[in-house]
Amino acid sequence: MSRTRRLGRLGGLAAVAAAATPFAGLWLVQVRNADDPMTVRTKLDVAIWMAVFAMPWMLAAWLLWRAWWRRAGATVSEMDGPARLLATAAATLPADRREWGAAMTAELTQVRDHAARWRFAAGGARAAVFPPAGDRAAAIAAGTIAVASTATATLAAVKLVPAGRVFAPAFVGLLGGLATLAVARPRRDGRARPGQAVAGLALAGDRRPCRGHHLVPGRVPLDAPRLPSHHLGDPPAGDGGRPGRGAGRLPVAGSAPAALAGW
Amino acid sequence: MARTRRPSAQTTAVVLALAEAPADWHYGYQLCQRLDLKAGSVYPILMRLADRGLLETAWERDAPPGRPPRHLYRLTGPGRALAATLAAEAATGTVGRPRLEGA
Repeated sequence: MSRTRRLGRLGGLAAVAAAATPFAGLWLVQVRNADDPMTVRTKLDVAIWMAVFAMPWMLAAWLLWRAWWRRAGATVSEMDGPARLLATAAATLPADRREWGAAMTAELTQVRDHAARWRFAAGGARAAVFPPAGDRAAAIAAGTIAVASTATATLAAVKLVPAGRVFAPAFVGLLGGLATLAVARPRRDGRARPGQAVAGLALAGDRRPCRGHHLVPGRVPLDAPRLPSHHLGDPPAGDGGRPGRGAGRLPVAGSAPAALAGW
Repeated sequence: MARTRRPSAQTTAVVLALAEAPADWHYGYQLCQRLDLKAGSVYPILMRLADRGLLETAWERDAPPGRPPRHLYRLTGPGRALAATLAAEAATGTVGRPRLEGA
């Protein structure tokens, strides 16, 4: 098996594991916090439900990884650790920030010392994953609503659905976090911002379990990972130029996960 | 309405470093080394400065084969004006800091 293929499979597994981890943690919390000690059968039942909830997220993570790796895997597998870290983080940048990812990746080629390369790549990755927010007020508002929704869900679940006192707040918190992330990602290309509308819907949906109803399906847009253009063999944009707006964006419908969760 | 924000100490350092040779193009890694700042601090600052029209960016034209072209930075006119204000205030020890005009 080639190195590219092996790394691709490992990366896919890591993506799936990362998507499954919160659900595994939730299962653990659920089992430990049960009023009465759970039987093996009950634990298995809860695990099956968690697997049902987790499956769409795992599938989405794997599809995202696969889409990115098909496009960039051959290049990434030839890089060293720091370059791989930076390229992966830079690939998450929104379209109008992508040239900055290319800029940091190009600068990394100037750093010779191995430790310094890691330091530069880690710093660049931080800047790529958390670029300056375009609309800080909206992000703060979304975050505040997410926290308030989670707190309300906790109180409501304890009062109305004691069995769901762990699951409901955790799920609402997860949705709220994703919604906040969608709002916080800067986009200044003048196009409609489906992420914000979706974030609003998700947060509106967050409130439903607080009233003892079902969770509402939502949609979570994620930026398609993409390497800076020159890593794919194209030259970067010309002087001051910006990559094609909206190019390479792959909105991923999270409606399936949420729909499944909306039992 | 234009948004105003006070430049941080790190932003001030970056602006002043760029203003030392305002006509020259500067590299990101060079700025990190010179100011002893991490890339995670310098690049967001450069992004903000560029967003606000204080920084001009360009790609290196004659990069050697096998190496990607590097991104270059220099202050624009308003950026130089801000640098002059910051430098003057640093020289006189003024407490108040000028505000960055947001885009």
